[in-house]
Amino acid sequence: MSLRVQRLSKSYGERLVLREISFECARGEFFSILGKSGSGKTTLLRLVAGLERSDDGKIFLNEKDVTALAAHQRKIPIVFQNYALFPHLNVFENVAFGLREQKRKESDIRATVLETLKLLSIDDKMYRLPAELSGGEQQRVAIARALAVQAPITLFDEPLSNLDLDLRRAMQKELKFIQRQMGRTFIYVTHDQEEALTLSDKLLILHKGRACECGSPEDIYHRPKTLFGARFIGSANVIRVQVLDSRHLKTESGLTLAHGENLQGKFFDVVIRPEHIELASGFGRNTFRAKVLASYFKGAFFEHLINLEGIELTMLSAQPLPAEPLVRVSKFFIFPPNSDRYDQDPTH
Amino acid sequence: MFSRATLLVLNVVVLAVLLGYAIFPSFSALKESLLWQGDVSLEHYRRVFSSSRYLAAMGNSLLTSLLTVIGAGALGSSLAFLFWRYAFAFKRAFLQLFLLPIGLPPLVGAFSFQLIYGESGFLPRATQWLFGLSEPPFAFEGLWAVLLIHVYSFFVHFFLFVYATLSKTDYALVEAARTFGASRATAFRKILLPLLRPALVSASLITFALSMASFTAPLLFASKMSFLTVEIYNQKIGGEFGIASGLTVLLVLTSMSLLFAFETFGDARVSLSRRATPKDAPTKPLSPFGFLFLLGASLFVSLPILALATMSFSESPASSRGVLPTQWGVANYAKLFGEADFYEPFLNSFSLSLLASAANLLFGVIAGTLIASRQIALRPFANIAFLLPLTIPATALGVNLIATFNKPSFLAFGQTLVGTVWILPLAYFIRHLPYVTRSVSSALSNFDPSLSEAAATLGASPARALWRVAIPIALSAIASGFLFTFISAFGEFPCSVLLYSPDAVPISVAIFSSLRLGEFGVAAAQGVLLLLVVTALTATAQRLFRTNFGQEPFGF
Repeated sequence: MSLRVQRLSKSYGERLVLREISFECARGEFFSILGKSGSGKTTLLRLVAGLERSDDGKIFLNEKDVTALAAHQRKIPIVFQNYALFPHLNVFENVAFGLREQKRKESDIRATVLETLKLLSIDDKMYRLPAELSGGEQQRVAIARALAVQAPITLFDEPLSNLDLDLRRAMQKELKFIQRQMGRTFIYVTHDQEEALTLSDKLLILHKGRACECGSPEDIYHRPKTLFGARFIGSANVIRVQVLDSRHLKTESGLTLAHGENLQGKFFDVVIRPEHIELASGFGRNTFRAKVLASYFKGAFFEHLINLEGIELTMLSAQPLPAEPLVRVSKFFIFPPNSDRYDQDPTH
Repeated sequence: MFSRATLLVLNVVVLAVLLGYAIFPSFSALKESLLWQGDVSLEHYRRVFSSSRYLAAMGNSLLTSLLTVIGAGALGSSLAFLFWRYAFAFKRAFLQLFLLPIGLPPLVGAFSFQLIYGESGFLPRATQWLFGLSEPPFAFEGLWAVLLIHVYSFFVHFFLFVYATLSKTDYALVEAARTFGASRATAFRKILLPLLRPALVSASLITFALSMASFTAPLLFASKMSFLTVEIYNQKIGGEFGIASGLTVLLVLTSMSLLFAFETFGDARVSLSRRATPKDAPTKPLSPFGFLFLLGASLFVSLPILALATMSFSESPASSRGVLPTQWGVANYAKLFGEADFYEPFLNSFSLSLLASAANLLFGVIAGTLIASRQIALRPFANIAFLLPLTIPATALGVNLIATFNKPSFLAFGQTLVGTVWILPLAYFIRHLPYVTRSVSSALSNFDPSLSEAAATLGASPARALWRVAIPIALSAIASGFLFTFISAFGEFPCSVLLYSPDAVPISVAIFSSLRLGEFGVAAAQGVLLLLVVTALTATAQRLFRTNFGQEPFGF
């Protein structure tokens, strides 16, 4: 394992920011930490880099315990959200900064810097100061600076959030390419779920300081463990239901869903992905007569707002729908009620 | 960052300097003004307010300042609009041209005006020659002369404040108003004017205060009229020190209330737009009227300097001159470099300013670090004390220092400083107390902590990060603060003429003597040289600022 984090906790005064976070990240993995603002994702990254000290828990880098080491002893470079380029140094010297701290030979430094700058296609701006570069160019320099030191892992703190959409998409592809080509381990913090899905081999979803999902994007999409994870990755219809009998759930408006799970309790939240509502040819299990309220042409498919016995849901279809189609709910996930709202009181 | 003992020592030093040199001298003048034949009395103030001469001086100063605000406001704001809205060739060169008056030492500026518009100036003589008159038809004198010089020196404040605000303004606001049917005039009145209000208020307050404090222009051009600053100088020269102190107190109170008003109401940094990238105003080609205006303004700004340069090569005596000098040569410059009487003042000014700015550097680094790290003791007191030197007009500071140091003082370790060479560096030091301090404290408090963090994650220990990142970044701020102090002290006139010692005559006083002796050619050569030194240093300072912080070459 490149990085192993064990039961890491951190609080600022009374406020618990991270609660017993554990995860593992293998060599050569593109590992994303995904969460909304305030979820603790940047704090987690800063703990890994050694810029903050955890209250509890351990961090292992290449199976060596680095919990007690300061940032400059761990030498895990971060690409900062605001780039943090040294304003008094030119592009070359910014990228050479870490190499000079390693006391490498001058010829070695020059070769490494040039190679990294070429990789990021910024070698033509080598002698410019950061203030003379565009935002996208500064971004490239910040990435080059972090990559040049050839650390076992490289951290990224929402590095693309200041770029406009087109540039962001292009940079995503480039980052993924560089990571694959160099075989590096990237740990990447983002709040953009689409970005996380595109880039990651593995995902950690943080919500209010807790790790609520950890796994490959496909895993989390197809087998979410939490309501929050199910809603955050991909789109989801969420409906409140109560237990009718051991095999059936029922909404307040009277829609009844058959299921095969062993449930404890009375109230539940059900998540139905839009693609799991399918056009049916005849009545059967979980099949209903729907009313189409609105249809939107999306190019490759249609998106519809439908009414299913008093419940409004989103569904997709390849062809236009009749006004009152027969639809079948082929798959859904059942979660305990309000499970994406953790207790406000962090001590519980 | 500092140990407790070091912190205590540094704070004591900083507060002692502020108390002793920034605050105490003001009270000396106040005390002096309240003493009448050894007793406490308001007699000096009674005399001031019952004399038509002093009342006229106050009236003239106030009236001139008011008219200066109007004139400088009109010129500066029109130019700002011209630069904002119109496209024309050599825009950057014109911009540099209009920033020129900032660097011009006031004495050199006033003298150049005399060369053009004065009794024997180029313009009156040209008119006389053109129409075959026996006498020059007009001469530049009195309130209007002072006003014109003030407009020349101070319009830049309006230009910069208004231009900075306009270029940050989202033009979509104007377009939105137009789509709702607002005429061009209505859009200006209802959209742009309210947005410009803070900039206009700031520029007006600064211009008014500078104009009240202005000494050189009234001294040179208003021999028949009386102005507050000149009256202070005359009374001090004439031995009426109590009256001079009383007038000083009144002048300081006026400037202080204006500059505190500036700090309170004059914040030009209102948020102008919520849009991340405001829409720039579309530029249109210059109209013939706009072209004439630009041409006129450029002539107005550049003529004095051209006149100065021309005159510095003149070898004809002033009385026998036609429109242009008849005999040309480099005799004036030869004198400047060959005769000790002429080159020594340059060397004197160099040493005096260097001494003062070195002291400012030391003090500013200590005080700036304390302020930025929030470790300064008695913070409200320190804030006001740092503002004080900015609010006290130079003439007033001169009088304050005479009142404090014309007898042995514990602040001068038991010496009498007046009459020695040491009083001038002290005056320069006090006048520029806030400069290095402000640049250091703002550089340190704007320092982005993620830079140190970036250095740490790249393997630099805290000591290495300080050495490779924080110190180099702070250095350029320190250097520019130091340079600006040095430049301003080098050409300083009002304090210098009140306090100089014959053992070390500074360059500004030497130019003044040349003028008094009618040696216009030499004075012009001295002025050109002073201007060259100041411009070279300003360019260096601007360069330091821009390349290291990516800031605009000017801006607020």
